[in-house]
Amino acid sequence: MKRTVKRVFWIYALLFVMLIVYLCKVSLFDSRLYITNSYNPRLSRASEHIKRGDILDINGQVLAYSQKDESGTYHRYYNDSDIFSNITGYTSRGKTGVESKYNFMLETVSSELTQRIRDAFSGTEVSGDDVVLTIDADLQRLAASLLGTSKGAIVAMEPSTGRILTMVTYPGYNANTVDEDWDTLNAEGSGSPLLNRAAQGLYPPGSTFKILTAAAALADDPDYLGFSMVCEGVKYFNSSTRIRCFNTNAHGHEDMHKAFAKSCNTYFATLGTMLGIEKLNAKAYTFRFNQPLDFPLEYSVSNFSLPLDSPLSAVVETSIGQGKTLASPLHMAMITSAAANGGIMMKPYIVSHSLSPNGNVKNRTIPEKLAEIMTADEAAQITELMKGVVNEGTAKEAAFSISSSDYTTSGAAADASLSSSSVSGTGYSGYIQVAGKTGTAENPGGDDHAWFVAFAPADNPRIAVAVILENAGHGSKAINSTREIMKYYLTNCINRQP
Amino acid sequence: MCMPYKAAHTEDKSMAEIFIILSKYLFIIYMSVFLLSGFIINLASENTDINKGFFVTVQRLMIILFHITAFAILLSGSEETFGYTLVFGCAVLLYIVLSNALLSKIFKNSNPVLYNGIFFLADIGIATLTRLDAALAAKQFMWCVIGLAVLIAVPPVLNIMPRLDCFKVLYAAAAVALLVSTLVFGTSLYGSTNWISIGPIAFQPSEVVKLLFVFFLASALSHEPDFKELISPAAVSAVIILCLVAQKDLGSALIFAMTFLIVLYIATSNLFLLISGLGIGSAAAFIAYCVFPHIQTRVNAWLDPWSDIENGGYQIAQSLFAIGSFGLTGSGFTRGYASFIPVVERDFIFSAICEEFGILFAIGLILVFVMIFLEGVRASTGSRSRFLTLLSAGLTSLITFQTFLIIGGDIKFLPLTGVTLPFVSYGGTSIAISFVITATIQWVYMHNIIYNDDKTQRQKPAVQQHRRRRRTQ
Repeated sequence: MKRTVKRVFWIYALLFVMLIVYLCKVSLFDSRLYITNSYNPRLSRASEHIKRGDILDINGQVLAYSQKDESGTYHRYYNDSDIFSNITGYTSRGKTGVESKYNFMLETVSSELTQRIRDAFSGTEVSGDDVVLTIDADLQRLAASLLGTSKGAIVAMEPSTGRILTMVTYPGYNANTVDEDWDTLNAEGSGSPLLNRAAQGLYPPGSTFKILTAAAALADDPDYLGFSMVCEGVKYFNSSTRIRCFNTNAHGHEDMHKAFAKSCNTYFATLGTMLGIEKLNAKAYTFRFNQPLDFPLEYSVSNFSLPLDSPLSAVVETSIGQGKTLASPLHMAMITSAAANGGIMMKPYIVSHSLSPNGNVKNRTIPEKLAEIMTADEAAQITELMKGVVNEGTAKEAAFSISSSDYTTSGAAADASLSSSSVSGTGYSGYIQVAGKTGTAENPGGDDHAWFVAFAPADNPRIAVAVILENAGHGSKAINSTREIMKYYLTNCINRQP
Repeated sequence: MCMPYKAAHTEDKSMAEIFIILSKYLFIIYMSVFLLSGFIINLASENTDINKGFFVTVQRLMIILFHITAFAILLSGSEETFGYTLVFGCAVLLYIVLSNALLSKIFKNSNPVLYNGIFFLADIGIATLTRLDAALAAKQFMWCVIGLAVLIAVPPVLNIMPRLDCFKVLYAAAAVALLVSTLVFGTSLYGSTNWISIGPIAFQPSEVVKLLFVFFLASALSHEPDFKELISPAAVSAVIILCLVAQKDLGSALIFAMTFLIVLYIATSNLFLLISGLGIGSAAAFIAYCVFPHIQTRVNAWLDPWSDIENGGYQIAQSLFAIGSFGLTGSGFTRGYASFIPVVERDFIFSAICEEFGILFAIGLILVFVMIFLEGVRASTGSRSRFLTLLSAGLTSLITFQTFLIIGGDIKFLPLTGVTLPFVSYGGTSIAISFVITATIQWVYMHNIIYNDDKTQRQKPAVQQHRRRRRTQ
């Protein structure tokens, strides 16, 4: 009997060891998950006696910093805020953006004891950790200058990691003066500058959605690749359902490759009706429509709605990206990245790590898979289709080459202080194969929106870009901007990454 | 303009800040020394060269240091309630010192490690509660004072009771009567209908039943049972567990089921019974999961608190935030945000401790429970009487499993069951019964020393006697 008591003791001892191991797991390995969760009240803590950490770009350029005024009160200042405010957010009138979601890190005082003692005896400031973004500030400036004063957004990310390289939106606002400008910013007709269109804006995806329709078809049966039909520029599905190609252009005899390159509505509408509602719904679900994207800043969930009892017209519309479908530029960039990354969609992230005042790297973000949205084979086929768009289709302007002279001029908006150290001359050169897809989203309220999504180089993708230009119609600005961003990144940024 | 940070702060404020940061390490040191002393005392039972008394004193000193440090921090942060906190802190300090002196005076043969363990836990609880809600801490302290009376009164009372192992019918009847009366007259608190209110006092009969239940099991199985004799304890246990399920008090139901299985296993040494019991228990739990929606909510919140974070998953998510945000050394006492967790003072006190004292200290806290558990096992294995072995093993197992259940729930290792963390959580009945359980184990321990063997063995702890006896068998 006493031996049994001892045996019971060992069972309990084992249970408690498991408790301790699990406790360590929760507190040490899962903690990142907890300290950025927006339901964690610790996020909004504001310590009164410490200097809030800076927000830096990937190369250490200061985007936000705190400074004491004469009365000893800390104020927050932002550099180039019109360009970066959609990411940094603001700290007056509550907090948003990185200021809100990474407040915990910005207010975390590393080696607090040493800092406090130094503060008490020599008056050095007690300072929170700096937060280092994945954003390249120079690339961001270039993207902002390309976007200019067109309403819209540009998102660039690294397909293999989910690292956001650039995220610009127009119109923006100045985080230094949010308080003074509050009424103007929220006024009717101001164009919602406080909305981060890149992640929170939802637009009909237009023809970029054909990526999904094509992927759904390929997943259903690889033979769809060879499915061909004759496009007459317009097709009647039934008496009331009619689909027109752009300018009622007849594309003639076409297989999927040609139809994708020419962005033929008739072909993909036909494909959609052949696949049917259930398969389109299933693919939209795997592409993470109506699903969280796990982006750390504020974002909107993309919307796909095609109920089982939808009329044929809805199926036709939805297959070519009209209908009720709405997607954010971030989501389209993620879909493009997944196609570039063998079908694996990575979790998008915008903070690389935090940095303690004595230079220790903390909380480094480890790239994580979000979902497998298609197989590697399907992704390779989609890549081929997207290459066709650039080589012989609607986005020929996207093609570019890098020559050695591009390295020395180092981009239009490069920061003079950094460009000197940025070039090592071992990056890309020659013709870069781009893979892309154009889109024109019909906008009931005005001129059409222009989309372009692309990645490059097609055989070893380093950057994926999604551009939306509101009411830009059919101009090639979206394609040109994408090309310049890719070119600049592949020329000047690749070698500079830490 | 931008967020105003008040930077102009006085010198003494910044000294207080430094003290709070320093205290993070002090608390961990106190805990380590306390545990290390406990470990050495355990070694001492096999090695008479070690001065056991010295390390017992060191443990007491650590409790007192913990108390003084914690209340110094509380005082530095309390401007209006300074006087009250000072008086309260001193009263608790006096209580700890007096209790130790009194108990070691009255019970010469008692196990001092067991006392130290529970007073340390109680003090950690009171300090944490004072920080969360001073009024609750005062009530808790009152219950601890009652607990002291219990510690003093129970052993002599048990001594004069004749043949405790003969009243199994009485224990069972009382237990069932209490639970049935809760079903009839009970009021609902924290989602379970397991409270009885008499005038201004509300108490949880299920806590009292814990004691009766173990007494019942120990006496029912105090003779080597054959298979038929197992039926009546099983039936009574089933009735009690079903009553608890009917009150939606699932945590207690689990504790009782587990206690029954463990006592049964110890009494029969039959591993098959334990495993098939666990199998039946799992099947019953699965059926309960399918039948009761509130269990489904709990289990779903455990599996994935994030998808329903605003409702079902809220508590557990807040608990994980508290545990996960500040790492090994915590936020510093009084600098956490534990009050965001619903029912933090009761179900989630462990999470609050994790947050402010850090994970290392929390691991220490778990080890203090293990230490108490170990002392219970010693009392059990040292006893010659079958009844006393079962009684002390049952009580020890009960309190240990309860600890496992609630800590596991707090850290999302297990689904959450709203039971208290013994000695630490706020809860009058829980504190009182935990003290009675300790007193009973202590009584068994003293009983062993007095009744076992000859005079030369008297000062030696029970485990060694047991080992010696086995050798001579």
